[in-house]
Amino acid sequence: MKTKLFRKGDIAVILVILVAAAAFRLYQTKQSDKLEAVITVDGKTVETIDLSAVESKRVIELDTAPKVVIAVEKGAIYFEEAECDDKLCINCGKLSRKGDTAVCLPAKTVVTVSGSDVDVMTY
Amino acid sequence: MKKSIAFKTALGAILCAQALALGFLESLIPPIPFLPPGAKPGFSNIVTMFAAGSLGLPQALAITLIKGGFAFVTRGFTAGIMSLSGGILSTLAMWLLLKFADNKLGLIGISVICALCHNAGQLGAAAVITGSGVIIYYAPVLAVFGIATGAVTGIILKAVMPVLEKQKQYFYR
Repeated sequence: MKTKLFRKGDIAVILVILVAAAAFRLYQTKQSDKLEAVITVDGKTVETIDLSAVESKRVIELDTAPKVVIAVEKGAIYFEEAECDDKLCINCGKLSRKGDTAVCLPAKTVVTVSGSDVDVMTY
Repeated sequence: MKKSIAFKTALGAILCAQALALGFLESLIPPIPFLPPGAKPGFSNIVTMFAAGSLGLPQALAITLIKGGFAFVTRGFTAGIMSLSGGILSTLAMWLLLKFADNKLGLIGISVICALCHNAGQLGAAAVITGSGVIIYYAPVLAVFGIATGAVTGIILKAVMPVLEKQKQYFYR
């Protein structure tokens, strides 16, 4: 296998990816100001929460397998408990900015923060 | 006359073991903040990429399938699907790029593109599993992370290439 470690084309590849990622990220964040969290299970939206209007912390228990518990507080939403092994969704931490997403694949549950006037499915 | 199917299989098995060992080693790295959980450097792709470039597509795909099967057995259905969806796509990309684009791209560029293909395959599978497209939100962060890990993988591959080629010589003469 004689492939060189580095060629000029590599710079072009990296630049294109960086520009595309930055543009995509910018597009995600410039949506409306309202902070809204959407919880979907198996593709169906089960709850939509306006995070800026949350007064005090509350928890949402989802009847999924494995079970997950999602906590909502002012300006943030996060997975609090999950009965799965890897706890990846909990490790996501608090979601408070647009575009923040936490996923529990075993429970097919997605929590995402978005602007309110955008249909999340259009992404 | 050492190029028999038995020797090929033996070398393939050794490479599989090496890929799995690398996968285990990287599972010891603690989660990195600011990254989507589950994002990994993908060091086992060093081995896959060597196989794709030096042994051919069937060998490389065999390693990918066994890695997926191993994830399926040890970490469950979801992990298996995630391993396979990303692995197969990136292995195909590796093979195509190493075969047809190695006069335009170096190992770093090829490895970065493959890392992105890996991400794309996994995001696609995750979107199907969750039934929701919002997971694409991860894409920009993953892409930037993929540039870093892809470059590192390419550099390590170049560094260990002589050893891997030597290992191959024991079986292919």
